[in-house]
Amino acid sequence: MILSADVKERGGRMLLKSGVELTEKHLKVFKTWGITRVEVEGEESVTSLQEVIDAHPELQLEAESAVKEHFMHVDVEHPFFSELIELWIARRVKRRAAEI
Amino acid sequence: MSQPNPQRLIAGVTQVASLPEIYMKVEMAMGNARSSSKYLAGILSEDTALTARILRLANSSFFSFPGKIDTVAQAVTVIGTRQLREIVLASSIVAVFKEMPEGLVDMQTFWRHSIACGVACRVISTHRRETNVESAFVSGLLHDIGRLVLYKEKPVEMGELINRCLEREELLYKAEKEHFGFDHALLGGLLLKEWKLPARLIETTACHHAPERAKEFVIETATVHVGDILANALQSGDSGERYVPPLATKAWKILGLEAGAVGSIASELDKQYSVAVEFVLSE
Amino acid sequence: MSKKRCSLAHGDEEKRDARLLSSYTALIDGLREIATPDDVITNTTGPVTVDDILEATSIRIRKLLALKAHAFLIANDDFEFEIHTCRPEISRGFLNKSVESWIDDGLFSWALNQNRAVIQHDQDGGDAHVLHVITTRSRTVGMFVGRIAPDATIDDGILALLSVVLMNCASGLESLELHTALQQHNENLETLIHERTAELEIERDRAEKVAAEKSLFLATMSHEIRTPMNGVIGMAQLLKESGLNQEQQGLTNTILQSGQALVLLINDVLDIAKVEAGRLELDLAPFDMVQLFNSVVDLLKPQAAAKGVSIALKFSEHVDRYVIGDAGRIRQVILNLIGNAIKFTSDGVIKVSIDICDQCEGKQFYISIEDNGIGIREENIGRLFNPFEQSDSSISSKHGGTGLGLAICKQLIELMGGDIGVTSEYGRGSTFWLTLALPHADDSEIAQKNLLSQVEEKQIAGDTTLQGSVLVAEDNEVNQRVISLMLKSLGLSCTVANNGLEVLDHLGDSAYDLILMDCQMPRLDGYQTTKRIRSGGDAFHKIPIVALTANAMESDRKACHAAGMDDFLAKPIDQSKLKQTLERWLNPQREEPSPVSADTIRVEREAEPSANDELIDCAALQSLIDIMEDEFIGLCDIFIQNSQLKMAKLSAAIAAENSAEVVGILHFLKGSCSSVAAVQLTAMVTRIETLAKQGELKEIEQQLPALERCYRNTIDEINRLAACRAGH
Repeated sequence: MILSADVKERGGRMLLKSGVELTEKHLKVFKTWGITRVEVEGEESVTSLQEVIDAHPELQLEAESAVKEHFMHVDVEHPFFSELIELWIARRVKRRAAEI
Repeated sequence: MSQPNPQRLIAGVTQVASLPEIYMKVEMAMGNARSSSKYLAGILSEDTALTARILRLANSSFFSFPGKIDTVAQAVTVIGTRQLREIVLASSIVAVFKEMPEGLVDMQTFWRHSIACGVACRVISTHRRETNVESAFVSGLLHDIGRLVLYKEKPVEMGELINRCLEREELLYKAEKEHFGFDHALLGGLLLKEWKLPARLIETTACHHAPERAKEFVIETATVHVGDILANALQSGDSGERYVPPLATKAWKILGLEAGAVGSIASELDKQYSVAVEFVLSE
Repeated sequence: MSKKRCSLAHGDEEKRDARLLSSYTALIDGLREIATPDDVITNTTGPVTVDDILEATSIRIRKLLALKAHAFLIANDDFEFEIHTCRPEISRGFLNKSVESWIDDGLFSWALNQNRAVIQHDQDGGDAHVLHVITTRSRTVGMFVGRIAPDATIDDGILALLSVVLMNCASGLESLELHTALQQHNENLETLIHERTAELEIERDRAEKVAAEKSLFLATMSHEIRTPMNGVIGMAQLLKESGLNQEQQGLTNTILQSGQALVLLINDVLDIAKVEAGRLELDLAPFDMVQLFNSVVDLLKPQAAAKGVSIALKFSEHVDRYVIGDAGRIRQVILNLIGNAIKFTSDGVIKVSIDICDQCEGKQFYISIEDNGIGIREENIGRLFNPFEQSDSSISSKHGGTGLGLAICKQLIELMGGDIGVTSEYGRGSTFWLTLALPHADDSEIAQKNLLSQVEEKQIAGDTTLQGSVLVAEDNEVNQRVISLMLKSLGLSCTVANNGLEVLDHLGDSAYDLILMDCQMPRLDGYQTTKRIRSGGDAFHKIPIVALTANAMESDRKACHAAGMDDFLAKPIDQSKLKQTLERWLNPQREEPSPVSADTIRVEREAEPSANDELIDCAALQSLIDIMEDEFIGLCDIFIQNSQLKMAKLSAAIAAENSAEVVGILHFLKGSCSSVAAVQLTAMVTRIETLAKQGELKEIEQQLPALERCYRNTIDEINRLAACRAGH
């Protein structure tokens, strides 16, 4: 099995870089650090956000206009909010797409 | 109309409600014996309903403990005595308000937001490697308690204010201040003070919209401030605030988190939210 | 709050108080323990290690808790946890096994993510354990494991203190890591620096080697080229005087001119090479700016007239006429610039103006040469002063030139510390300008020099006959022929030797009056031969030896002198210069050969110190008088005035311990004395000058009275001779 994404421990330190072939030793390290899920190549990944957007572009637009309303009292430039808004849009799009 | 006296409003609540016995006992036990964990386990076991809920919580993703926790004693060991004290407190306070009749506001919805805030605070606290993350949970849970007082004591005016905020695209807590002369934060702080709850809870509740005003519990207040914004933005439940409140940048800075942490905090929040709801709202 | 209050029975209250008190006491004690400063730094003598920190932490923890055993696990580079320290050591294996099982069942990772102590109870009633992560805010460093009794309970407060202790431990370990990383970084840096320094040293050595090779090349080229040139020009000169018809004269002139032009070109190339190799030395001497410009303009007048162009020379009144600098090279530059102006102008006036630059620091000359010729295109101006580039190749074919001129001018001017440039408008004309800072020269120094050059000219014009036999050491056949013919035409007999060994042979066989010694010869070169002659005890060991050399550098002159040679002639050999030199050394009245001077030999005017008791070399003086006639008195006056002034300054300078000034004064005196043939005085001054250069002021002070005496005697003698002369 080959890692398809970097594995980091909770503090953000890189445990293993993507592209590495997993060994028993690596699995033990994951157990030690409490890593329960890793992404490996070949796995069917969950439908990515991009795929959803591509399928329903109107959801993206709807979400973006909703942002304007919902976040009207905040400074959208602040890094905290730019992250949060991105997340918010993604979740909204996914949710609405699931409802369709 | 002249502005009401906040003390009077609180009296309206405290006269009819008091913290449950279990809370008092736990508090006493905390300061009581050296072997507090055993003693605490003993006290808790007296309340079977609470015990059941605690065990469910202990075995949930709230703690992700490898292995099954069967007894309160184990739960106490795993969760931690001081931590468990906070959880009991949370449960106790919610119980007070559950007994109150539902009025204008759908209590479930209100509590959902509060729980979401509680969990968000807990996750933030964990990221920051704080020792007692449950105390953050409680702080988050209780931050909007003042609003419950307003809903109970001034239902009509609150209804009008909410409508007005929708029309004029205003923030509710600012409208409260304008209308009543004080907001739900101040009111909540007064209530908790009346109940002689820990000073920490009083300050975090009173200052969660203006964290720069916190004097002693600066980090805890900043945590609640940010937790509230996250809970609001991710729209779990509804506290009456339609719009996402602004961020006090100093509070964010004090926490020392990276903006990129927002993503992982949100996913942890998702994981623990339903468990917390189950614990807090179930009988 | 009031309704449902709990209350304890009275006895219970006492128990509670007792428990509270003991809890409180334990906490305070614990706090005190961990509040004591670290023993780590004071205990160890070497640098702090991970072991030191863990040891100190272990001591603290043992004060807080009663542990059966405990261990510190540290995460390695592969993120695996290994027991670093274990107390007691025998428990290591057992604890390892426990850790393995906890990793397996997930307890370990769970404890890793808690930020507090975790108590693990054994299901089978065995010993319990305390697990606590060792972490800072940013990094998880390790895990602490402690074994306790199965039923042991630990006060929450104590567990909180444990957190504090382990937090400190984590901080310490993180600091240590950073410290080690920093040290490593510094070491790397040092290594890099050493390597780089070594590299640079190698490069520097290489550069020095290249520079040395360049010098050698220059010297060799100089010699290789000048030698045949010597032949061409010398032969052509002799041919001219060999009775040719008009046609033959014309042809010979062409050969001579071509040869001379070639020499000039070679000089140009070698000059550039010298400047670039940093080997060009400026010849600083006092000169007259006005005279320099006048002579250049005079030289170019015919050329200009032929093109219908006139030259207007203008000196600003502020300009300092007498200055010190390398007159020859400045002349070269001015000649080049004005020559160019003529070349590229077809009519009108070339304005040459010499002024003082107001914007420049110090008194600097601002010289400009303005023409209304064809001008230079803007895009070409930048390349103008680059060697081998002409702004337009068509120009070279029309106007001639190698393209080296301006480049050399730039190099020379810059070497003198000046600046050169041009402004031009295509089709309208150009103005070449240069700035130069030249220090002021004494009027008297110039005047004396002028007189001297006049004397020299007259000497050349004069027809002094020489007598004597000359030994010529020269390996090149052409040169042999040239020199022999020259000597014969001067009325001297000569013998030729091919190398140093032959020279010695010849010297053994017959007596000679002078040796012309080529420096570069096979088998035994000029230097070696001279050394041998000088060091031998033979009768001829003091014979005058004149070096013939193609190298015109100061270092070579010094080498010649060091070997023991008396004088110096540069190749290609000029007949008139040869004559002068021979006249100097072949004085028929002189019986004693002259000892070697202690100073550097300069080509033109260096007079020989004499072993004579004669104050004045009468014969030399006599020839001077004959040449100068009435001007001789003027010369004496000048000499007396100047030298008196200098002698006065001398004692002052010595008293002030100003070595540099002393050297300067003595140098001046030497020149003056030699030009009036005051041989004894010259010798003394020369000796003292050497001392001055070595800074031996005390020694000089002692010799001062003798010098003053000699000086007075010399003045008297000069006056006497002048009076004699006046009487005639």
